[in-house]
Amino acid sequence: MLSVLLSLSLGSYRGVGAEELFKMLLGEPLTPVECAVLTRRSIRTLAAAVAGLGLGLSGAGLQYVLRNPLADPYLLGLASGAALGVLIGVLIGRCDPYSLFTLAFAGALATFFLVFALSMLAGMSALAVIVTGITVSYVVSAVNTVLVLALGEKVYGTFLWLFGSVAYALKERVIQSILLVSIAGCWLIIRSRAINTLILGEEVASSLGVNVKSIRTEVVVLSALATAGIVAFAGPIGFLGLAAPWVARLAVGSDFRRLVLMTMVSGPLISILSDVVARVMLTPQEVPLTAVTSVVGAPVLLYLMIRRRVWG
Amino acid sequence: MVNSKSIWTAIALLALFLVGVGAFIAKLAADYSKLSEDVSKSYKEIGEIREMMGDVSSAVDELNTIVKNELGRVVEKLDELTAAYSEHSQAISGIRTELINLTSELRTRVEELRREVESLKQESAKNEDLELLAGKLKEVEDRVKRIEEKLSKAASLEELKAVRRSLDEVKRSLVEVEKLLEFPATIVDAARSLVVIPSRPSRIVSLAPSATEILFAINASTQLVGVDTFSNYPPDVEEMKINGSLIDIGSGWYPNVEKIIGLNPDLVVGVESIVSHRTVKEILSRYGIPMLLLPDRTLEDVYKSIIIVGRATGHLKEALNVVNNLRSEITLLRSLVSNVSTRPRTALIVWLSPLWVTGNETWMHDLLVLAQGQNVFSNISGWSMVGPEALLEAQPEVVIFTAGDTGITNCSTVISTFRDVLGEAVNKIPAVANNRVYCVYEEYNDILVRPSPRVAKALKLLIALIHPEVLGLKPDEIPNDVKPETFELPKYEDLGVEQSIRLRHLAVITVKVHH
Repeated sequence: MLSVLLSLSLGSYRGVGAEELFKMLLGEPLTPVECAVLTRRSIRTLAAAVAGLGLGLSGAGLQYVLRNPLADPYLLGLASGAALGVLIGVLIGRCDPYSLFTLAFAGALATFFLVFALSMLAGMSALAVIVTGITVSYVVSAVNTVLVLALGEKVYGTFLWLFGSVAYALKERVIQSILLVSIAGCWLIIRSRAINTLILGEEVASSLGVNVKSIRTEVVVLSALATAGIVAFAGPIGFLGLAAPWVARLAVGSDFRRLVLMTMVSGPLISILSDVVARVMLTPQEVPLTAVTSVVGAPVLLYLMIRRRVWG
Repeated sequence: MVNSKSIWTAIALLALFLVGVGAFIAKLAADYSKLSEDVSKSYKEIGEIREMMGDVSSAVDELNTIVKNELGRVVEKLDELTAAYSEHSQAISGIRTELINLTSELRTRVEELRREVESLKQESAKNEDLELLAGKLKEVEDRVKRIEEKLSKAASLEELKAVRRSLDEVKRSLVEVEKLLEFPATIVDAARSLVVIPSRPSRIVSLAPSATEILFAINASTQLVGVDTFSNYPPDVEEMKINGSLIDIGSGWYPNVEKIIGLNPDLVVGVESIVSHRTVKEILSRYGIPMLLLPDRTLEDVYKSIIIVGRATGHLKEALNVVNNLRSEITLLRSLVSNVSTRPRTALIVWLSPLWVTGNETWMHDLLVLAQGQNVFSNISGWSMVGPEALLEAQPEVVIFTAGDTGITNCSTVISTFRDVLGEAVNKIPAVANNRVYCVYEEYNDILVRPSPRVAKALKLLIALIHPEVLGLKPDEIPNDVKPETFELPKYEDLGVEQSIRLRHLAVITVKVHH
């Protein structure tokens, strides 16, 4: 709640601050301009919250089903795959939201299966999966960059989007991804008991009557769905899928049932605060969200990892 | 015997006679002396009179000269008056023709406006305002007719003055009608979307330096409230940013939407080629803020965008003037290079690593062609990335690099960058071998990379670099680092070129080139 209020009261336009916000909460009338600025800011805040929520949940799910503490939609190439899908959409001239989302989803899934196939060759260890993921992610990002440069004018100026940003989020797209993210969230909550058993090992989980293969597929598809929904409007935002579950784990421990619920709080919290920093840091310039999530998120995570030695 | 008595008598008589004679003589003498006295007196008087006569005649002479002078003056005055009279009557007839012309001009304008209103009436459903306008125009037309009658009868200056006054009134009411017809303005922009601007905008935000330059060039700067970070021309922009009369809305690549909305704009101007501007346009449309995307590919697009901005801001006349002046200056510059014998192969580089070059379908390509250069990358469309080998293959004779904001401050860096990649083969590029690699900075960079009203100046710069001889320069007079401090563009007067641009109507140019 506090972070939402902070996000609504801070921005490049100085005319609207905490004071106007309280006025609005007290039911006093605002000028049309103040109202417009607040509307814009709330859409942006909502977009950041959805991005944090979706990426946090995807990260949490992936970390459990792959039994890999470093799994993250960004590191596994899902985000850059989705971005590739969007760019292909722009390239072939299909810029309507639904085509873009479908292509993003396809791109995310395709990239994930490429990563999965390659890491099978590399031995399927947690580290191997991540290294393959990062490698593929880099290759796909490079393809994206080349595409942007080669397409020149057509997508020139999408660099900010390539780095991830909610500055230009449109209401319809945000609402569209809220639907996708809530589907993914509900599914994860419903299946949280089954996912929880995976922590004990695949054999134990199987012996408890859990279909490991199907649950793994479900989580991967849902993560790709949520990620694609977010990338389609905000671009690939890094680090949220890794940081949000970690913070949640530090707060409530490793039980997935509680962890899912906590991630739903920590994800939006981190992304909203990061977006506030992104827009205030160099005002009036816009800073890519990933730059902030990486710079702010990484040291915190490192510190927590060293101090708690979780998963060590 | 002589009688003594008679002798005495004779003696007495003689004596008497003598006395008589004596008396007579005495009297005569007395008379004479009196007469001579009188005569001498008369002589004296005559002398006096003579003197007086002399005075009188000099006085008459004086009087004569005075009268003569006076008369001359009178004659002169008369001449003057005659001349003034003929001048005056000429002036009156001049004023009369002027007024007749003005009247017929106003008459055609009224007719044009009436036609426009008629066509608008057919287009739109809401007719009340137009009905009103049509009525007003009818009134104005009748008034012009009355004025014409009055004018045909008017003889004195006073009457003509009265006619002029009523014509001025007619003019003012026509300007009012024109203003009413200008808005709402409906404009199709470069994104092919219909932009409706309900009334003359007074809070404009510009998202690109070229748009800012256009707004200033057409006198719309007082309506401007926000510009992007890169806008820096005219110099007033920087000043206005500091004193707060213009607000910075962030980088033109990624404009800050919140900041724009906070400025409560009634028109936002962006450009077609920047993708984020399309997204911004979509977001702003949700808040009812009209946004124009200006075409910014070719040179023709530069003219188009000036006119679009003119129409959208209520400065169409100024915009047409700016375009006319631009076209005539470009025609003049073209005539300068029309007789060159070669068209040097030229590469226009906009970024060094990676190497970005200018292909066709860009205003920079169009300017290069007008400057009688050959674009070595004309097979590429738009701006594109190429490998350094492409430069070796293209064999440019002139290389122009817009180094403005790339962090490069010395042109030798550019050649050593090529050398790092190409090795000694770099010397096989004619431009490198002949020392014709130019780096362009500061204002010269800006005029080259912006589709702004300064494209004519950019053309002059390109001509200076590609064909220095037509501007009276030698190639070695041009420094490799081209900036205002190191290289001054020659002025038209110094080129033996007489340029006269009539601002009002048609652009007329006289060109005198001496060899």
